[in-house]
Amino acid sequence: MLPDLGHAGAELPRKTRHKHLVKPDSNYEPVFYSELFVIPVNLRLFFPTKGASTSHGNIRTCRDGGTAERDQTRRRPLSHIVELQTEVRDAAAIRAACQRLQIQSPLYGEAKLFSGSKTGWQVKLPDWRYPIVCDVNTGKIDFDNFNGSWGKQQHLDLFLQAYAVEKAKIESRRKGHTVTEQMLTDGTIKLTIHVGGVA
Amino acid sequence: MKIIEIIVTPDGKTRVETKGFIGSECREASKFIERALGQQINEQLTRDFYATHTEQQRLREQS
Repeated sequence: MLPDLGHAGAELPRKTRHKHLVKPDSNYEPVFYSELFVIPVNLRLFFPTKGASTSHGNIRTCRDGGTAERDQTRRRPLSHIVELQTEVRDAAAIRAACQRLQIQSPLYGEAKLFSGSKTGWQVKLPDWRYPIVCDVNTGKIDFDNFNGSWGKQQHLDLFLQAYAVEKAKIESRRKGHTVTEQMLTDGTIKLTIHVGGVA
Repeated sequence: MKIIEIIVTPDGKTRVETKGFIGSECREASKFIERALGQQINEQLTRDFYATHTEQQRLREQS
């Protein structure tokens, strides 16, 4: 039985393989002759298999300190994912969100809602009967849209999206990072923060 | 290159993803943005987090 010679070795016709060996004694039986060819490990160097080559490549990459680090960065491992509930705590970001949505700038003060009054940054959303009131101390928004009859939820959602985008941009720039913004087809906004400011 | 991706959906939901960081470094790097945006409702550590974290520990032990 012929032991596994690997990919390259298997492709070679038997006659070709024999050429690499010292011609055996004529007394040797064919089976023994084949084993003699395979057993010396050194001979495999002449027939590197595909797998052996890849493995060698990996070892070389891992032992080279710089290369291993470069490879890891190139692959950009996704290390963790965090989901957040947006809290509205920054007046500057509220103002930036209003500019972004091209709506009236926020006003600070007491606002009258249907069920009472609230104090905070008031934002007038399009076609909303009452303003929304952002309390930057608690991060919560008070509003009264009577389940959509006095203002569409979609407008509030878009305000929250605009706030989150503007707040993330403000904080990233404050840290000296570069931010790029991309609007996706479904309306999602993707911000890419290049840590260290390299775009 | 180390990057932080922030995905903000039209309904105001926010997701933060870190890429190109080694081990727990990603948590440190994105902390400022997580604090600024609001309350964390879910955190998922990926296979890459543990892979790079283990490698970092191994290197620390060697040195």
